[in-house]
Amino acid sequence: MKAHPRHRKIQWARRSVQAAVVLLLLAIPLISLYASHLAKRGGLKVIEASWALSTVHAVVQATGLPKSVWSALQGSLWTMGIAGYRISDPLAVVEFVATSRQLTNSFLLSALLPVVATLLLGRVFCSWICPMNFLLEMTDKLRRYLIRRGFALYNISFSRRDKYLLLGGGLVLAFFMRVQVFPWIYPPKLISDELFGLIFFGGLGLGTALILAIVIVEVLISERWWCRSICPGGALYILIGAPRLLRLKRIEENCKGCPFCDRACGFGLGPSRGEMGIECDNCARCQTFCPHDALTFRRLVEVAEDDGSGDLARAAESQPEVEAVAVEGESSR
Amino acid sequence: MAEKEFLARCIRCHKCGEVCPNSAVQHLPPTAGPAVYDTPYINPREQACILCMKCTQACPTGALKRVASDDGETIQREVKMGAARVDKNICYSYNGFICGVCVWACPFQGQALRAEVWERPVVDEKRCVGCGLCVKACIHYPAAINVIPQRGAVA
Repeated sequence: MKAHPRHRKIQWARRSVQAAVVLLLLAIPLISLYASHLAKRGGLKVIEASWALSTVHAVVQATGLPKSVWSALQGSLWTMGIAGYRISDPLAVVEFVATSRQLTNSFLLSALLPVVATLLLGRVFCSWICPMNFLLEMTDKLRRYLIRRGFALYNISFSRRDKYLLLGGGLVLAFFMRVQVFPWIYPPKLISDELFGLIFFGGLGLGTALILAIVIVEVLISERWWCRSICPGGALYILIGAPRLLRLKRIEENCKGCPFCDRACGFGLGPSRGEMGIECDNCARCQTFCPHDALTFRRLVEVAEDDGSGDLARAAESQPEVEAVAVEGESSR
Repeated sequence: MAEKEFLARCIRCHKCGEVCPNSAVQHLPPTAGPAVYDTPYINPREQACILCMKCTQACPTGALKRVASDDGETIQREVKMGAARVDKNICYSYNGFICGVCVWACPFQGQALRAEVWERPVVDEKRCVGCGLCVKACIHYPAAINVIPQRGAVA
């Protein structure tokens, strides 16, 4: 499939942001490790003995930035501190509310920015930030390559509804049993924590095994299984992003009914039929690969021209009748 | 706060383990069970808590209650990770020698842990915060003093 020359820029931007997120997930634990050694006696020796840490040391010294600047970013995609402010994944906050049954904890505010952004833009966390989506888009390319080369792979389709059941079930369990389940299975947290654990604590955990399992299932058994039908975080983002202002829309006059957009869609939605729905994450791959420029972004709220057909216009026209009725009514009393 | 409350608030973000300057805070492995997997714990024999309170500042949800680090009285009042208990069968001071190293290591020496005749350590369980510095210091192997987690007492 050839990318539309103009819309290709969006995909470049999106891939850059996705890559930047992964780099950030590597840089944050490295800087944290550097800071923790710097604060210890004899830490400088440990820093100098490691190529990675001494690189960080050299950069920090060369730029002369104070610690408050270079250690401003801390944490993971589950919950992140940015210069003292906290931004968390809405799933973390929602589950915390369920288990702790608290609504006055300041932790709740940390989901404000992601929630507002999702309300306006839709499920863009998935398409622009989530490292698991990034990984699975790449492994999906591998799957399609294998299919083109003649491998007979399964494609069992699961219901999109399963995500919402998992989200709801997890929250019910969290509320009644006060046990958190999403930290075990939510891939952005798993990827952040595995990368963090690898660099800071020196080891991998169960998260790596689960991520590998998901990749294997997606390549061999069910295309884009996790994001389409299982991810509870995705389900939450979809629900929050349902009223979004930014949407992809099909331009009927330009559409020739070819299958390129359907093939490009990572979530198996139907752009060629105008069926994007709330599951769409605004990744714009359909727009990029449409050869006829038949897909565009639109804001939901558009200013319509006044052509005399609105309610106010009709009321103004019928005004003389209203007055006549009112006068009649008065005189008949 | 009670353990159930702590487990409900902990979002397994690992910030406490990351910020601990002593590397005393570690995270439970999957073998500890699904309810507590990934939550923080301290094994004082490996590395004890120096009561810097940085973990309480770092915790985003208040599972580790924020405690100021500059006041000994505040720390003694707010922190309760458990209480130390002397195993008199193996403690040197109770068995013909004179030791007392644990008492010197205690940040609340004389209050939570005091030395009696022959440097025999005596714990005041109400005042002990459970930091484990005594456990780390104990020269007997296995340790003759240990922190017993108290039911419903997690910082």
